[in-house]
Amino acid sequence: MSSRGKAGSGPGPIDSVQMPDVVVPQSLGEVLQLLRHTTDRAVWAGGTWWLHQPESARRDRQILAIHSVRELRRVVRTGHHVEIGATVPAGRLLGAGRRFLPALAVEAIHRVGPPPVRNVATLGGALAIPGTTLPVTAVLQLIDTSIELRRQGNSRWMSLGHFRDPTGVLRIDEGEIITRLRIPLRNWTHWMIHTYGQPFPGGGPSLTLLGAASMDKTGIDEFRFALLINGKRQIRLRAAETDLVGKAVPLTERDRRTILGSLEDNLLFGSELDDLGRWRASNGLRGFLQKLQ
Amino acid sequence: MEVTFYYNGTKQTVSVVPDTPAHQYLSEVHGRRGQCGDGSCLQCTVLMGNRVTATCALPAYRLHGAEIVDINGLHNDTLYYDIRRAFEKIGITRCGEALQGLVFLAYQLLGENPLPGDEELREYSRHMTTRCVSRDEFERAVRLAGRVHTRKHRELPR
Repeated sequence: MSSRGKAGSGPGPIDSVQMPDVVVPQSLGEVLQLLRHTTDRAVWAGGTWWLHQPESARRDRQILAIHSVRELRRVVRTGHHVEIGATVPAGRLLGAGRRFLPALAVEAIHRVGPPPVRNVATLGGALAIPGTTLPVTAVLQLIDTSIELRRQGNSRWMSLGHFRDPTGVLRIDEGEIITRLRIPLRNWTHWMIHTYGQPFPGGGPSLTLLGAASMDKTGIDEFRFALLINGKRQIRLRAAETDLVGKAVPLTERDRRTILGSLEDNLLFGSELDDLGRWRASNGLRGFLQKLQ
Repeated sequence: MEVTFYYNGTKQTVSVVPDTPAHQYLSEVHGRRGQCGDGSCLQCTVLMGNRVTATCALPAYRLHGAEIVDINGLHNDTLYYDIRRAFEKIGITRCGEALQGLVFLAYQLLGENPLPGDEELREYSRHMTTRCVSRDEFERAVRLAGRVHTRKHRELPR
């Protein structure tokens, strides 16, 4: 089953040519109906990730290209959060979004790629890369982003942190797609994102350090820290993060040693990182804690 | 599969494999090929809907119905003219392959904000990996082009 559609506008009418290998629906209803009837389709938003995969990973599947679906290209801002359609190009978010998105999210979107790639790549596509977590995904997780998953007749919201199981498999049901992201508009007074290596699929070993904190008059109001290792494994220090909330700055040596100790005691820290990676991670955390003063 | 699009206002129909990068088909039209495969060298960039687009990161099926413009399609555009003059003034003329991409970056940036601030300029220049132009030169050229273009199009007082 295929539908006619155009990839963009032109100065004159172009006859809608049926593209047998590619379906380009114009509405969300059409997408959900197509997914309900045939689940063996590759859903492409921008398609930038799929283009760099081996041909064997994408052959013989009809492409469901959702870049033209108008409902997925909206950005809606409220007082507390912003909802971004899954196929909004990353470059468009940096235009107006720079003024209200958390600075950490803006920086992470920058790292999706250079401007000519950001005008094609989408956040929805970045979140749904099988088996790999990009730094932008890890950042959005860190700042409590949630996503809407829809299939025909049903929709649900899910915390982005629960979207993958521990092995990296996406928790998405048949016939579902990501339709929106909801990013809380929290004011993070301190943040850090630092990547070693090439974090894109096939780029070799990489380590990304992420930190976010908000301070109030008395001290630390909120604190987050995460490591993304080779785009596959993540370390969060949730218990230690909670312990830091309410602490006055500068932190005592004991508090610093406690959180550093919880990092070094983490199983993945020892098993997934080499000496250099462990040194970088520890120093990154130490440096971020120092910034809070 | 055939896709039909407009290239500099001329209708083109090309046979493509839909899930391959578009730049290998467009190179038959404009003769340029990119090298990097990740959008950083700027050699395969075009304007698509007034947005600078790396065709090495664009699936071929997205060409269908698109309006694509390269340097030759901007001859009558005053902003393009001001950008080229600014580039020449600053000395950004030695970069043959990536020049078009640099012009398009400036074109998109000034199209959004004719007088960009430092932060906006850095958002574009920080990704530059071309060796023939420094970030500082690019930023100066964009500022100059923006000032000139704004001055020209400001309404004269009666």
